[in-house]
Amino acid sequence: MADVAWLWLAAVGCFSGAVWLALAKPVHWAQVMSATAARRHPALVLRCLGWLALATALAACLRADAPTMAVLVWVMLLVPAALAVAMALAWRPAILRCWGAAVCLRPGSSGR
Amino acid sequence: MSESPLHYRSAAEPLRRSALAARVFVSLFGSYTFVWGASSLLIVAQVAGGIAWDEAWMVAMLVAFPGFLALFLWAYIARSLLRVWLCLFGVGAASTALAAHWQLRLLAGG
Amino acid sequence: MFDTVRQAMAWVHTGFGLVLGYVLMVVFFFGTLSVFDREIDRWAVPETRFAVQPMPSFDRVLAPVYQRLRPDPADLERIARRVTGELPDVASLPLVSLFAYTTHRDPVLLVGAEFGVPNAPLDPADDHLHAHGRAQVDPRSGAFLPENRLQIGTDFFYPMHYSLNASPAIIGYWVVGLAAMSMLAALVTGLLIHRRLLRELFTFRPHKRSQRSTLDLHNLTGVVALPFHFFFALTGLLIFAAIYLPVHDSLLRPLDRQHEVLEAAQTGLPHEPAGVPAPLASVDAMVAQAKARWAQRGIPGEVGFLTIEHMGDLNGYVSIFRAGSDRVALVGEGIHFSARTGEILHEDPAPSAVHAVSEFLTGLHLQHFRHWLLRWLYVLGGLVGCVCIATGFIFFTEKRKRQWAHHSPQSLRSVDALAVTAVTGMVLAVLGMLVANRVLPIDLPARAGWEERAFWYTWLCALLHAWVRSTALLGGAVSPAWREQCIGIAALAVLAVTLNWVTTGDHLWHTVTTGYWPVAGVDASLLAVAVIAFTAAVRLYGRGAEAASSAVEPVEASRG
Repeated sequence: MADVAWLWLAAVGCFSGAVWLALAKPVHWAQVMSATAARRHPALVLRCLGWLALATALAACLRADAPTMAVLVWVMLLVPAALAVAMALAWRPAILRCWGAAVCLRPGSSGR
Repeated sequence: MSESPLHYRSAAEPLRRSALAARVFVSLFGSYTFVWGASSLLIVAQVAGGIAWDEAWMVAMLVAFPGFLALFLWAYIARSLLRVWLCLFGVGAASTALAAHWQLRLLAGG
Repeated sequence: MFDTVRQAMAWVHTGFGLVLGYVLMVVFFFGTLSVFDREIDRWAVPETRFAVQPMPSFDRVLAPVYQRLRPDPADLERIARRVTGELPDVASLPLVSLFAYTTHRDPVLLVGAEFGVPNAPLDPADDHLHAHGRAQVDPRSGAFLPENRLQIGTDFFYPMHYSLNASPAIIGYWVVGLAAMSMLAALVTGLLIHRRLLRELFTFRPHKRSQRSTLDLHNLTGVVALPFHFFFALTGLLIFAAIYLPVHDSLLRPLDRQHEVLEAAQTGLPHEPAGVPAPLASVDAMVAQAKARWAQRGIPGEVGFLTIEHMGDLNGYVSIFRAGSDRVALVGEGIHFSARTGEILHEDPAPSAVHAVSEFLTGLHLQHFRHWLLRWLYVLGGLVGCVCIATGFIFFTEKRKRQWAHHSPQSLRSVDALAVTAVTGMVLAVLGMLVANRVLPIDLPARAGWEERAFWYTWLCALLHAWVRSTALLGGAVSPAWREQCIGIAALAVLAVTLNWVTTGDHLWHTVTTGYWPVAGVDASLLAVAVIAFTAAVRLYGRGAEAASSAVEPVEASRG
């Protein structure tokens, strides 16, 4: 049953990765963050964080399944992750705010 | 019908229906002829080089479908329709003939 | 001819998408259903609602089954036309080869055999003269399942996916192949003509006017599932490579034959029978030995596929293949035994790099693995593909609605009516078939034929309805056929679930609490479809009312 936990982690990783990659785009950052927070846009940090989350998800998939299967699961998990982010941005952008806030909280992490 | 729904008309020159039909024809049948000949030749060449038959066949098939896609799209991008016709049907027929000839020599030799 | 590459690519995208998009829609939708084909079979054939079974004992259960198996009458008729003289009595035709096949999702076992035909062929080159027979078997008892039950999932929806159930099937294969190639072309051209691919990766603006939001949804669904779409179209073509590019069976046939003989010499598996009768050793002992070999190699597993070639002959051999439940590639690791002595003749070597790649590619499409999350993700991928194609159609009609309403109203109506038929009509046809499956009397002669007719006629009715109602388009409104068919879907889905309950007693609460997921899953999915369709209908009614009150809104025809 440990496999299920790894797959959950992979799903969360894919979703978080998609959120951060979306927030790395100025349009979506402005959509999600409040006016005060929106002034600074740490695009580079967001992009790195996004790819890091996707890499973590891949690692989790590899822990759960054989390598060939894991790659398939990872690629397929990206579909609901990206769709969910697009739908959240369209209907309820505010629910993605904590992903953006997580980046802003750290004082040294302000990108350009 | 006064106008085909599929026409993307440029201001300079209206798209000619016959030219379009020729493109569609060559994009499908020309590419198929090319892929048929090229994959046959690829298989025979590999077998001649000592690669097992089913492995040679598999390699040819893995290349054939992406190859068809590329040729199919090229048939619409290329400026000269004549060049597309000559290249696709010409190379297709030539490689088919070459593959058949090489196969005969292989069978006679082995 | 085209001024720019973009223009040429846009023409290919629109032209081939419009012509073959309908076929693609069918292929994607039935491919999605085929992910759970075995589960749909359980729903449609209540006699088979029992636990999944492993490959049964050959010596005790299967050997008598093959003695009772007979060639298919339709196949015999075809054979009779290819040979001289009358065919002998069916029961006297010798069984020359056989197979048994199961997966980790099958309670029933598929068995099949080839029967020798003693008559001389009309065409001397016609050297594959065999009559085929196949049947579904209950592995617990060896009993044949009743013949007039249609396994809707594996025998109708799945073939629909790759052959459109066309007759002859070869036409269907080629149309689907062309559609798959168009899919690949549409994906590549779509990427090339997309103006803001990366910038609008996550963009969906449902509140903008419908043309904009439709295009957003088309781009979004096309891009996020791009690897899925591309690899499924490509691997679909690869699976049927031998049909689409039959060089081995025509131009290169002599080399192919030479290889067959060479291979037989290399592996020690005889290509031809010896003509000397010989008894069959215990197949169960061979199975036990094969399982022991797999365990030794660190890949313990079950038998997925078992074949016997040259049955009853000195040269006979038994091949035992491992079920691929635990990886992407299909059955494999074959171990071949002498049928007479039970000794190992040959063990398949590890696949070469090329074969490993091709097995991975075909395996990821055919999905024999045990991975329920991945299965559901495939369903999602397939549905996303359907949305992508459907929004493509809707964008096409929305964009041209104003213009066409004047000078080619019939074209506008037919494109839209076909789009309705390909989207909601197709779902209606599937539901109509499931309802027919539950209401037709169990002993009706040719029951399967009636179920298929229910499918086609429901679809035809949906087309007629969509055509009749499409007149509203000319006034600039959305065709009311969309919302009316959504209501129909909701009603039929609920009806199908209710009928399953009434005719078999397996209501959703019962199947969920007893953990019988195949039927519970189908019922729950049907109810989900009903809810979605009903919600869509309510929204469409709302929008219809809005459009009627705001009269004519200005529509600009530029594309972003």
